[in-house]
Amino acid sequence: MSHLTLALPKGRLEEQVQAHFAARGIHFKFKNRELVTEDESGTFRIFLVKNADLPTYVHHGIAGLGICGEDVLYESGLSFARLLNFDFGQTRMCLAATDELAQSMAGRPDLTQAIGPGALRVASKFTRFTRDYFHEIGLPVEIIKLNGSVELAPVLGLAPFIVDLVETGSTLKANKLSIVQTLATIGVYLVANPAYYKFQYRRIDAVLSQLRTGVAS
Amino acid sequence: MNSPRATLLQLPAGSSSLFFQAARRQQALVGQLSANYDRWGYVPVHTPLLDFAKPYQAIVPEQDSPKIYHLIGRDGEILMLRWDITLFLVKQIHSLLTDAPLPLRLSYADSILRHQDDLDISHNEFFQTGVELIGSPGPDGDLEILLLLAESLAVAGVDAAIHVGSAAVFRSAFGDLPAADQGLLTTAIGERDWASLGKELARLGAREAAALSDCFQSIAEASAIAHWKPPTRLPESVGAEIEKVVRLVGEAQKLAPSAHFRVDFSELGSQLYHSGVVFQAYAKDYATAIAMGGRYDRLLAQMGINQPAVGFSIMLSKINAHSHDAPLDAIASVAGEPGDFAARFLKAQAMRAQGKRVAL
Repeated sequence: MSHLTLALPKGRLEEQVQAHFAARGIHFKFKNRELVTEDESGTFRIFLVKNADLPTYVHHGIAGLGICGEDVLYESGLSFARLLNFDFGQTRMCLAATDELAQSMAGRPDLTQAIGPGALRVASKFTRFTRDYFHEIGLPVEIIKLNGSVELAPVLGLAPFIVDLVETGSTLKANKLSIVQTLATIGVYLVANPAYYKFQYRRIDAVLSQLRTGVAS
Repeated sequence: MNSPRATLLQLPAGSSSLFFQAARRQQALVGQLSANYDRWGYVPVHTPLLDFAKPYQAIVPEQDSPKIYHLIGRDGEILMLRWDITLFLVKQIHSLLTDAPLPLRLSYADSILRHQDDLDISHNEFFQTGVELIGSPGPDGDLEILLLLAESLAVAGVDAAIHVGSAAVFRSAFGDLPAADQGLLTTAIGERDWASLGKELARLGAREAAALSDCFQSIAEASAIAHWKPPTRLPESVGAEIEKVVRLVGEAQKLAPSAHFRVDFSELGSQLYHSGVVFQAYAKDYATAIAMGGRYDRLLAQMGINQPAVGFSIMLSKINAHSHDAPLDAIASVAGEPGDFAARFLKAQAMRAQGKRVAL
């Protein structure tokens, strides 16, 4: 029987997934600088990919399954079957600004009132999320796309606000930035290419049972 | 890229070519499938590549509008390129239906041009083949179409699983809700996001929310359908539609034991005009469904024709891209043979009579 193919993002999430799977009897590791491996039972063929590219691999069916954050899924604009929401790796998508600006807006949860007339000028990697979020609440927004180190934008005067993922908040603090508002909780999901799931649903559902309960079915 | 050479090498965004082996394969597939449709009594039709956009305004789903290529005609009329063969066919056959005996069995093999992906513009052109059965109500009409689809996929050499659901199941449960709420529910079901579905059902105060959620999660093999039990405590109207699908799939599997049918209530229909049974076919190593279809009993009425209809399309571009033929036989040549043109022509003719491929 052929393997189930699974894409994982390089980095911290890879380690968390490895631990989560191991606790449920699914063991794998990547040797040296390999990017492809199999788990010990031969159920999975696992690929290590760049986080932002993971949805692309799953969309094209190269990996039938993938594990990544909701931020990456949302930015891809692609549609997947969402099979499992993991209890690790959660972050928050936040609107942040310099300490002074954030302080001036404290206690005013209605952003449309707090910001006043004119468009909100925001720097972010997450342009799709930012656009959709602020359009949903009726706030016009001018988005400046950055690919990384988004905290620099308010520091250097590129944009007064940023929308970015926040875990501990230490990076914001180090750059004298503060959270203005938490916009969304971002979870980590096991997703599937919808056609792949439909064709392989029994094998995948068996794996889901194992991941949920820790018992091989 | 503005140089003349660069312009020659480019294609307009969304169009594609097919050469050599791939073109030959596609032709062969179209031939095999068309011959199969013909054996079932389906006659071919070709819809125009271009049509006036205005008559379709009432029936083009809003979500599909951004995918359609429009152009301005020579008289200033807004035209659209063929983007859905069923819709184009429905508009064209009005005159056919006034005199033709029913049911009418039509087949087609044509390309459509539809924007699919913001990033991958190379796949905006698709070649589809399929059938429409007009004037045959379910379940007999549904059974015929499912069995023809199963046989057609086998002819195309694809080992597929056909997932059968019903747009009527969703409509009987949620048809009275505002379109926005229905959209949220269909998205949750399509993404198998049962947590979100549960939240939305709770928000909407849906009766028997747990049973409804279980219903849409259900996938069952047709071979085991006799032992499958639908979720209990479903609203009666939903239960009735489920029963229809279960009976249909069980009957199809009995009549085509080598086919692979599944009951799958997360199949809600790939088009908004679907009104009853809907289905999609999935196969190993294909990243999307390779065939889809369903019943669309109300669509023709919007064009002034009060007839039930059901059909399917097979995404031939996708199947062709996956097929791996044996290499083509080399083309022989008589160019170097002695004698004049007439002599070479006769020699080539004799070689072709033996089944060889020969160039002059």
